[in-house]
Amino acid sequence: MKLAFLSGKGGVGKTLVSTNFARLIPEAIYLDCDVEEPNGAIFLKPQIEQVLEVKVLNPEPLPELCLGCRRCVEFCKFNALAYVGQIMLFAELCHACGGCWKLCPAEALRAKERVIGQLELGRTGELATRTGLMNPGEATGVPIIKQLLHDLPSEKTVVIDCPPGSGCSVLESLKKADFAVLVAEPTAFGLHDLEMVCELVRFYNLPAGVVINKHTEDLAEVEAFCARQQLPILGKIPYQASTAALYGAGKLLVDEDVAAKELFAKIVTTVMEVATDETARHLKR
Amino acid sequence: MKVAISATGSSLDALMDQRFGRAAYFLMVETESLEFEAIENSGAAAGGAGIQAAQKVIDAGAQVVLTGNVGPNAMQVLQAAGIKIYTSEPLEVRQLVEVYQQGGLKEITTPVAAHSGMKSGNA
Amino acid sequence: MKQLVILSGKGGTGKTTLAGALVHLLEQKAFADCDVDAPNLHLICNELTEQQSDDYYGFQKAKIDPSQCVQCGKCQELCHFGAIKDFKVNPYECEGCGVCAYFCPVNQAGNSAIQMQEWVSGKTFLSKRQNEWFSHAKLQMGNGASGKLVTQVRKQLLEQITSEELVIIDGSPGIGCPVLASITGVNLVVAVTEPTLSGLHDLERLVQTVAQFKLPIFVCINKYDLNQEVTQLVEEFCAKKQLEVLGKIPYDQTVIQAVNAGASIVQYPASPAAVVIMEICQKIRSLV
Repeated sequence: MKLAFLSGKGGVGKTLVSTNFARLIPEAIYLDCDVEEPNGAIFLKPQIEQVLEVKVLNPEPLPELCLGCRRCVEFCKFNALAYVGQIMLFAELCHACGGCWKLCPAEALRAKERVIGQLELGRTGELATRTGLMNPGEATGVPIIKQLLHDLPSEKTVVIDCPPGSGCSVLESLKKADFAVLVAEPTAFGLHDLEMVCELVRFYNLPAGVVINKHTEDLAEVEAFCARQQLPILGKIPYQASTAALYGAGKLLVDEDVAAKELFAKIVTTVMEVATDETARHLKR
Repeated sequence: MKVAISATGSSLDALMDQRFGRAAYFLMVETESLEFEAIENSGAAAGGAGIQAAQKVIDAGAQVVLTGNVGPNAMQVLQAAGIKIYTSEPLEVRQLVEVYQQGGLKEITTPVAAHSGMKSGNA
Repeated sequence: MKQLVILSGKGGTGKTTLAGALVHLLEQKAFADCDVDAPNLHLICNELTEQQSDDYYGFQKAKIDPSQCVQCGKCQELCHFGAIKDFKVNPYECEGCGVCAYFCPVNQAGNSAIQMQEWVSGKTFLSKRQNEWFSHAKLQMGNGASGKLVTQVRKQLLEQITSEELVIIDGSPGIGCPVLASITGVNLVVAVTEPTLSGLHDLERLVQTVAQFKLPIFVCINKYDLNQEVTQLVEEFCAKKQLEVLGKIPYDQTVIQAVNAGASIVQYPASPAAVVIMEICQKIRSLV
């Protein structure tokens, strides 16, 4: 079962919920797909066992062959190439489409691998962790997310901590998911963001449920939205000053607080049940 | 001497635009005659705007750029073409040219911000 | 004209709460929500009336004309993004590189089986609240924020207002291109942070980014009492960087109440958070 944890904006508690959740599942895999700001490792503190480079294919200009025709500069939609007496490449802007080296009449550009980030494979006790890290200044983390999601063992529970927003990297993170856990706050802001991510999972026809974080009291509009969208509420994590303090200090709630551990254990059970039912129902449809 | 000025409008009365890559216009001004040509930059790309803008002013024959801030990518392209860059407060273009000719502007050789490789936000 | 931008690095620290308070308290101003990924400011600015909305074209996407396509499969073979299947383009996979259109043999023969078309990736809005202009945007799913859209949101606001007005910009999280586009040309940056290690980490990155613009930056620590130790770390960081802390806002449930009522926290003036936020707004007013 592959579970994607997402929320529209940042700061709602994706990482809080997904790290504590993953910690309670024996032999699960935790994937941090928020490759721009991966924070999962702050909480899980994994022992890093292996570091893999993530590479893409970029053009390499060969000035001695260049005719100066500038076709590649005119072609590149991403402005990654300029011509000032010779071809200049701005690799961070390159989307690796391959157009320039395929169209060059003089073969003055060739494909060359370039590192844009890395995967850190590690372990927190029984939990396997994989963190994607994009090098600062890169145009896109999508290739890193692709590699993170590649080759996942089908029998294991995989917890996918998605990036914020609803952009291309979120879409990529959802591609392999069987079920989505939408993390939401019971506020008007939270509702607005929940509507946004709900649209996303509907697009992928992905069954989903909601975990309410920072819960103090129910917000009727959020409850009504979930009912209307047939999104089961999988758990509510109460707002507590002690929780906020532990989180602020980079600690896992389930390691520090018995009540939190019980609460998360319950959420794990509910999520696994609902996800199993919903995905089965989905397959039948 | 042909200078390229990032501008908020298409006439000599327009204010200089502090941004190079995302300026609305580039005014290509002949400093002796004040003859000029306005190049529109409104279709600036979602990503790589600075590089595209630098290429534009180079191709238009600029020898000097007068602007507020230049990002590292644009600066690299301009420097490769041997173009000098001077920075200023946002003055009117006409006045700016005058100040430049009197030698009242500061040349810059370092970019303003690591602005490269912005999230292009494509699907 | 003076412009100020509210930023944070990390998401969810309370940028919009502060922006909403400024919108309620300051006079002679216009405001913009440049957090185009997850815009929320409109939710606490009641009585908005939309004046204008425009499609925003961020990119191009390929489109195959089935009546011209000879189904040679060349485009499928060349596309590095796997965006073409069964002679159809999936716009959510297409990055708009144009390789398919360039190499399409029908196109090369002078016809056009594949066209690069402008793709609506969102909408921009101009609204009015009482007599004040508010500029904002909404992105379509699958599209990330870009500096181009942020620039557009600010530009359409500046076209409406006079030089006496103060512009308040609610910025986006992170330190990427959208943030840089919201900083350019402002006079003042206010950073809202929270006492968490991730919040502090992201604040440090933000301060580095803003320093390159040589702009004054003022810090607010929101929910400071949730972790006094980390709050102290934030204060130490600010002292080291010589950044003035404008105020420390206590955690206060009233903030959530206000949001849920579509109101600003300062409409609950007796609440502990409002008291501090009003002081902060006073300071910001005198700074600009």
